[in-house]
Amino acid sequence: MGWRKSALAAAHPLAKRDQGPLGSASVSASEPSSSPFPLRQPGGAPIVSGRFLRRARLLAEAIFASHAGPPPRQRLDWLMLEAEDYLARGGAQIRFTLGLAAFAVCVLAPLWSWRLRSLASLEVNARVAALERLEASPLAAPLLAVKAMLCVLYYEHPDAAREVGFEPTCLTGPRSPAAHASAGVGS
Amino acid sequence: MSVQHGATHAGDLRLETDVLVIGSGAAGAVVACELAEAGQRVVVVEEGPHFTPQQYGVMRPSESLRKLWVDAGLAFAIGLGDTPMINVMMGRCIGGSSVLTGGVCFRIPGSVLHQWSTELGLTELTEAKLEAAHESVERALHVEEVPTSLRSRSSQKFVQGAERLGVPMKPIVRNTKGCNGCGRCNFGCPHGAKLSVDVTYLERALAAGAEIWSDCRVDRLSFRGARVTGAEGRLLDAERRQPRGRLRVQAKRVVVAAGAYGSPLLLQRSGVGRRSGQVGRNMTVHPAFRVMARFKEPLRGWEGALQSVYSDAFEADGVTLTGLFVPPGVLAATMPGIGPSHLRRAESIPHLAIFGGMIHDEGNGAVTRGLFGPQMTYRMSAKDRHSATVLMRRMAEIFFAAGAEEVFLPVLGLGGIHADRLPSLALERVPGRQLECGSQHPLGTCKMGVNPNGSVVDPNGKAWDTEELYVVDGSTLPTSLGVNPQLSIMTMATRSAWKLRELPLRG
Repeated sequence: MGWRKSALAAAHPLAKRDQGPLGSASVSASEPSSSPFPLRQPGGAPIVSGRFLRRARLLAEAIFASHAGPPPRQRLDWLMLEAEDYLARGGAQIRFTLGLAAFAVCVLAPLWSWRLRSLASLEVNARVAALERLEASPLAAPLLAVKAMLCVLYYEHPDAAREVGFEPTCLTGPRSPAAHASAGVGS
Repeated sequence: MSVQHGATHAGDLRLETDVLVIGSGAAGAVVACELAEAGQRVVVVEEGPHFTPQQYGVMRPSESLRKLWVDAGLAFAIGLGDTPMINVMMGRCIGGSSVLTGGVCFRIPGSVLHQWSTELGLTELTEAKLEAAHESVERALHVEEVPTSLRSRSSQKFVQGAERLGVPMKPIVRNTKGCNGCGRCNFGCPHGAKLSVDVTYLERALAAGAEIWSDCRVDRLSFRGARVTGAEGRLLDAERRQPRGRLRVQAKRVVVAAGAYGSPLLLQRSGVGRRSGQVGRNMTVHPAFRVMARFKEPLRGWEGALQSVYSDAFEADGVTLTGLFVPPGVLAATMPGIGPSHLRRAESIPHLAIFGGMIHDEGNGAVTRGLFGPQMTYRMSAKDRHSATVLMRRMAEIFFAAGAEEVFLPVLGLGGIHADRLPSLALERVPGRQLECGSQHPLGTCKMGVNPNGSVVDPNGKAWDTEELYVVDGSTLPTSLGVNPQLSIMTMATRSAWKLRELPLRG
C-alpha cells in the first residue's frame, strides 16, 4: 500500500518535470489516465493486486533498462499507474491471465538461469540476463504477454517515445477545425 | 435530440417502442436509421459508453483501448490444436467497431456471394440483388479511394517491393472525407474525417426521432411464447461498468446487432437456438499477421493513411495483404530483447515498415458463455495454417525486394532475419502457439442459412423458432469474406432493414 500511495503522489509532479519538448505537443500523454477511475472494489479491495503491480514493476525495470540502469523512478511510477488503470478496465479474465503470466515469469526466469533466488533479489543487470534467457526459451509466452502490455503503455510516455525517435504527431489527437465541423452523434 | 446516457440516468429505466435495436455498431446503426426514417419508433441500446469525436480524438492509443474496446483490447480466442492464441479486437462504444476500423470498405466479393447463393441456397444474396444496398451504404459513407499522396513511406516501400516482384497492388477505398493521413484511425479519428456510423447513420437516426442510449447492457430477451416482447438488463456506471439501475424495454420487434461476440452470448442467455445448437459456433476471424521490415533510411511510417493499399494477388492461397501501421509501443512489444538490446531495437522504430495480411478462413471458432465468463476458442484448419505460411513468406520476400535490411516475422522468439535466411526457414514447421496473430473481424456466430437445423437465422435474418426476433450483424454472415467486413455488414444490414420496414408491426 505504501508503494501505491507514493506512486500516486509522484504521478502528477512527473507530468510537469519529466516532460520534454515533445510533451508540449502531447501534454496529455504524461498525465495518468487513472486519476478519475475508482481502482477499488465496492468492499475497498484494490481491483488490481499490489502483488501483480510489484511484479510488473520488477519486469519493467529490466525490460526498459539502458546501459545506465533502469528508467527514471517517476516514469516507472507513471507506468504502474497506467498499468493499474488499464487492467482495472480490462476485465477479470484478463487480470487473471496477466497476473498468472507475471507470477510465472518471476518464478521461471531465475530458475532458467540456474539461480535459486527470487527475481526481486537480482540486480537489474542480472534480471535483464535472466529475462533474456527466458525470452529465448520455449517458455517465453508469459513474459511476452506482460512485456506487450508494458510496452504499449511505456512508449506513450513522451520521454520514452522521444528516446526511440518516435514523434506522435497525431496520436494524441490534436483538435482541428474539421473535428468541430463534424461533431458526432448527439454532441 | 442527443444520445442519452444510462450511466447518469437516475433509478430504473423503462422504455416502450416499436423496434428495439441492441447494439449501435455498423449494423445496428444502419437498421436504426433506416427504420426511423421510415417512420417507426426506434430505441437503440448500447452497452458501451458514448464519446464524441472531440473526446475520443484526444485519447492516447491505450486510453482508447481501455475505454472503447472490449476487454481493453485484450480479448483473445484460445487456440485449439496447432493454432496461436488470437487477440480479437472489438469495439464497445456508441458507433461500435466502426469508430475503430481503418475505414476500409470492400464490397462482399463476387466469389463469396456466388458460394452463398448457389452452394448455401441463399438465392437472394447475389451481386445484382445486393447492388442497391451496396450503393446506398457507399453513398452514405462517402466511400473514396485513398490518394497516392496519403500513402505512408512504409506502404510505399512495400509497393516498391511488390512492383519489383510483379505483385499487383491496388488502392484501398475507405469511408473518409477530408482525411489528412494522420494514421490513427484505429483509435478514433480526431478530425471527424472517417465517416464512422456515429457521425453518419446514428446522427440521421436521431434526426428521424430514434432514441439512443449508451451504458445499457442487455442481459436477456423477453418472450411471450415464441414471440419476443423486449429485453431486460442493467444500466452501467460510467467508469467501472458496474450495474446500476434496471433496464426494461418493451418492443414489438427486436433486432439484435451486438456483433459476432455479443449477439450469440445474448441468444444463449435467452435460450434461443437450442434446436440447432449452432449459436456461437462457426466463428471465422480472418486470422491476421503483420510483418515488419527495417530499412536503412528512416521512414516514419506513422505519417500517412493507416491503410492505403492492398493486394489480392494471393487470393488463391486464401490470403489478402493490406497496409497498416501500429503505435510504437505495439511495435516495440513484438521486438525481441530485454533491457539495452530491447532499447536498441526499439530505436529502429522510425526505420520500420509494416504490412499486414489476413486469411480467408474456414469457420472453426466458437463463442461460449464459459465457466469464468465469455470465452472464444478457435481452431485453425490445415488449409489456413498453410495460408499463414504463404502469407509470411510472400510478405518477407516483398520487403527484401524493396531493400529491407532485416525482416521481423510474426514468430515469437525468432528475432529479425536477413534475406539469405528466408529460403531455408521452415515456416511450415513453426508450432502454431509460436505465431503472433490478431483479428479485428470475428464473424459468423449466428450463421444465416436455409436449414433450421444447421443455422441460427433464416435468409431474412429472423431467428428460427421465434417471432419478431431478428439478428442483423456480422454474426449472420454464413462464411468468411476474405476482406475487411465493415461495408459488407452494413450492406446486409441495409437489406434487412429494407425488408423490415415493409413488414407490418403487430401490436
